[in-house]
Amino acid sequence: MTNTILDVKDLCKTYIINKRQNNVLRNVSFQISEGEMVAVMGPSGSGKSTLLYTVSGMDRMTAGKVDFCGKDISSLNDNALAKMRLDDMGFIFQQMYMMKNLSVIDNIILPAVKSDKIKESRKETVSRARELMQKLGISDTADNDINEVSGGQLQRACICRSMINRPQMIFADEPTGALNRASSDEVMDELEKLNSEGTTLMLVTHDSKVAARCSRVLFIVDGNIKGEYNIKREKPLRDRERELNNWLLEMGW
Amino acid sequence: MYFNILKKDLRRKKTVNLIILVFVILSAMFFSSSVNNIVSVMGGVDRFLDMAGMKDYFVIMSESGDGEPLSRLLDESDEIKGYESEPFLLGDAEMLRLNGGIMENTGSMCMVMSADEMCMTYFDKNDEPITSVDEGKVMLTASLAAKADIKEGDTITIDMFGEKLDLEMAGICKDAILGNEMTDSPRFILSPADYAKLYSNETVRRTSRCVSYIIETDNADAVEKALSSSDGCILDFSRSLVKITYVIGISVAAIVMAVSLFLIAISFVVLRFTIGFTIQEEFREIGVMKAIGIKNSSIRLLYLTKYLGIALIGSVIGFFAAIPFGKMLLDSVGGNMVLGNDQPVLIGILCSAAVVAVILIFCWSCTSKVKKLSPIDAVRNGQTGERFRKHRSMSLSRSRLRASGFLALNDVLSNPKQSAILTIVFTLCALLVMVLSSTSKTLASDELLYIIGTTKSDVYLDIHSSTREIQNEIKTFSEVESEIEDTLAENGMPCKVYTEGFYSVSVESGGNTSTCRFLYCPDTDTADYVYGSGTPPQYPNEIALGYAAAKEIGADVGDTVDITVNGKKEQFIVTALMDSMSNLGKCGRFHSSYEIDESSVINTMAHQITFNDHPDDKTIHERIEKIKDIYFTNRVFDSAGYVDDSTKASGAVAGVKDLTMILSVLIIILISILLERSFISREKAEIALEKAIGFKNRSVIWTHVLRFIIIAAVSVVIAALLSSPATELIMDPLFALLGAVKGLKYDIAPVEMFVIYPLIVLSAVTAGAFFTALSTNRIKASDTSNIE
Repeated sequence: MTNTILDVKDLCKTYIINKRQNNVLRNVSFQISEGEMVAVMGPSGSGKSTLLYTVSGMDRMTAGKVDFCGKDISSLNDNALAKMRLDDMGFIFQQMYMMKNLSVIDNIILPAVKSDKIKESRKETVSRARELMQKLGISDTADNDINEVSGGQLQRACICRSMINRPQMIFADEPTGALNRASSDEVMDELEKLNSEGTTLMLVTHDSKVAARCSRVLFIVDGNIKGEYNIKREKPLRDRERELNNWLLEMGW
Repeated sequence: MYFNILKKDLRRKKTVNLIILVFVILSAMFFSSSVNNIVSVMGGVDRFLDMAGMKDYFVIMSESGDGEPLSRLLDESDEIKGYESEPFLLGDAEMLRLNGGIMENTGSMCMVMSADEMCMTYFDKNDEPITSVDEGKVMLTASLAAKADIKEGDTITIDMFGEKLDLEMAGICKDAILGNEMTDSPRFILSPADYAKLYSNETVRRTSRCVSYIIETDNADAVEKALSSSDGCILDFSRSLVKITYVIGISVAAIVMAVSLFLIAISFVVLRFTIGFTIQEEFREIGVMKAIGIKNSSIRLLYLTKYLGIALIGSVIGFFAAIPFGKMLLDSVGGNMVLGNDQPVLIGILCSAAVVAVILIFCWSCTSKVKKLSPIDAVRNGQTGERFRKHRSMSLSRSRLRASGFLALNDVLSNPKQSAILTIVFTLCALLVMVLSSTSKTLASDELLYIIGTTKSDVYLDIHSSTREIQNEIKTFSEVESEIEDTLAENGMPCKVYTEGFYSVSVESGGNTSTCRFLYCPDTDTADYVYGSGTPPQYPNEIALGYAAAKEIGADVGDTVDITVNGKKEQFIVTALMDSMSNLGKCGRFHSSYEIDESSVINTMAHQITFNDHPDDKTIHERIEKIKDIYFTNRVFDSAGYVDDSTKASGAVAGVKDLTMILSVLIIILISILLERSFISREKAEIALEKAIGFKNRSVIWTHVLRFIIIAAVSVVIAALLSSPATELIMDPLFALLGAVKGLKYDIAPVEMFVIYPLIVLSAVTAGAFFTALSTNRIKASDTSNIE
């Protein structure tokens, strides 16, 4: 039996905009087990990204409970949340956010330099980063400026950065949203590979082709999880995608 | 649309716009008040002298001598158009008491006169001419009232040779010729009845009678010639020389003016940054405006409109703020003067308009950046697709620094232009204060002893009662000095005393004549004094000449000059030229072996006391207090105190230094706030990213603050290195006006200069950056999803 890494119960998130209450998430509950790769899908404005940022501790919840690795993140202060994000979580964003004054490899090792989780020398960190880059096929861009590499290479560098502190789980917000199809496939290949090596992933996507690579899909509408779909990953990708699309149509996509 | 964009800008960038407004207000306020100040002081000296009735030459003659009266010589000269005279009694500090106690800061010489015998015009505190003084009352020089803390209603006792008057202080008088910082010799205006009581004393009449002459002539040489034929000239000034005595006031005004120009320069730097950032941030709006066909000039006009608005509001506020501020500055510059100019409002308006115009010109050139942005920027989030520019300059992989330290240092090095401008601004702020600190310290140190014309002693006892006795041949210098030595020995302070005497002589060379004050002391080695060029006089017929005197008569080292002294003309060889602020450089020194009639001495310096037992500084200061009690005077100094008292400038410079310090700190804080806000706004995405990957709030704040600390630390180091050459560059011309033509060695307070000021600058930068960086707490990790 696999362990639950993320346990979300009755999660609510409300924004007050111009004195009007906007309930973005309404009593959302779900669990993610270790080694899973879960996609969150839903129409624009349904609360997908808010869900991702709230369960990962980047944003505060209004009500409910989120346990990450057995810790209730609502009870943690900002510093403890930051430490959790640094040591136990990895993040990949739609836009390839990087520190513009750092080279590609420096951006990758930055979380490791900041963290005291892994006791190693700077040289060892760099060596580990190079290994990760090698695995993701971007080792030749290590010393480049971030302006000097393509979007796909940059997103893979972001994946390396999210992996550098050996996190328990990676959160990805539309990781292929800003990429062309070829780059998108490359990035998803890498994420799938990471998952197959044991890393838990939760990603937000609009793209059923991306979601079809996951083990499970949560479909969210108006801040509620409307349905959940388990994907049989042993099937060919094209079949998985077709079946997922059919399910999404049933859900009203 | 323009209005909406402007409204949005003003709402979104409230703090930044407010700080720019503050800079414009400060610039306009300082510019208007300083220009008005300069005009008032520069033109004001002439205006004040005219109002006071000063003509071309001013002379004080002692009527106690046997020589021919100056009035007869002036009457006989065809070159003298006219003259007026006013009699007075010359006294000294020891004859004065305030409320029964010591009167502080009286200066060495004071004048007592009757209100009905004034030929000059003296002004009261409301700048109204003084016409009469009631019996039992006295009006006195403004600078003395300020320095000695004398208030209306206080009792002032004048005791001249036993003739004692208790008078009530009725108000201040502004004296155009002898009332400023450099020449101040307190003047006491009495009622005719009170004056008559003093005058009735035989000793007073015999020893203290003097007359000041206000002479109108186009030929100063005619006056010099008359003076050379008459004994007893105590003081003589041409009108131009009187104007130079206001150098301290003018210098203070000039320093304030320099500070205001500096402020304006800072405002421009700040504006340049802000406009640059604003345009960078608004690439999308600018791109869209260009995409829909709005011309570059129209877009630039939009920004210009905004800054025109800020500049107009700021300069109007600055104009009005300049009125009280200018008055405050003017009072500090010339509280002893009747100052003002005819067009203060017009000057204020012109200065404020100039600030607006310069800001607009500057804005127009800054907004040229708009041309570089294209519609494609709106589509590509400010990226044009060009990928040539390298941003980074350090490698985290190869660095040993921790993450925050590395990010801060890397940011500083990766933005060299921005860092350089900030470094220059912080350096200038620190440097300005350091230069003024060094100047004020030098003015109150014994570095300047030589330009007063004396040498270092343990204590300087500035009493002059014996001068009159020497002049009247009651005592000799040796006798006076022995008396002091005996008195101090009886009180356990065995010592050697010597006294420098001033002698009024007429120096002639190549047909040019100058009335100079020559220093002479038979008890010192003439070689011990400092000379600018040549070699010290070694024989009785050799002299050293002040640079100003040498220039006036066209003499140089090696020349032979004729000097009329003791009523006879003798030839002397000029062997050296010397820096001196005595008589503003119109001076000289006889060799110690030269024999002179001591009774012709017109004044003396303080008695210089050197203790036989070589005491340490602490003991010297204890003895100073003891000597004050013995002689019932507060005019006892150590060497630094004596210089400070003689130059009377350190207080004014220290005041400007404190004002500059406050302004510098204000500027540093404002700039740190403004730029940190701009950085936060520009780096919002990076801050959110740092937080998303696990940086704590305090790490982000520390990174931001550290950038400023690095720049400030570099700045204070540069400022410390440049402080010495910068002080020489800026202050040498000023000291040259005081008589130190060849420059001087500046004194510094190391702890103040290299510890306190750097710490103040660092603290101001840190405080400004820190409190602004706290706003990064509002940027959340989840903002990564909202950033464009």
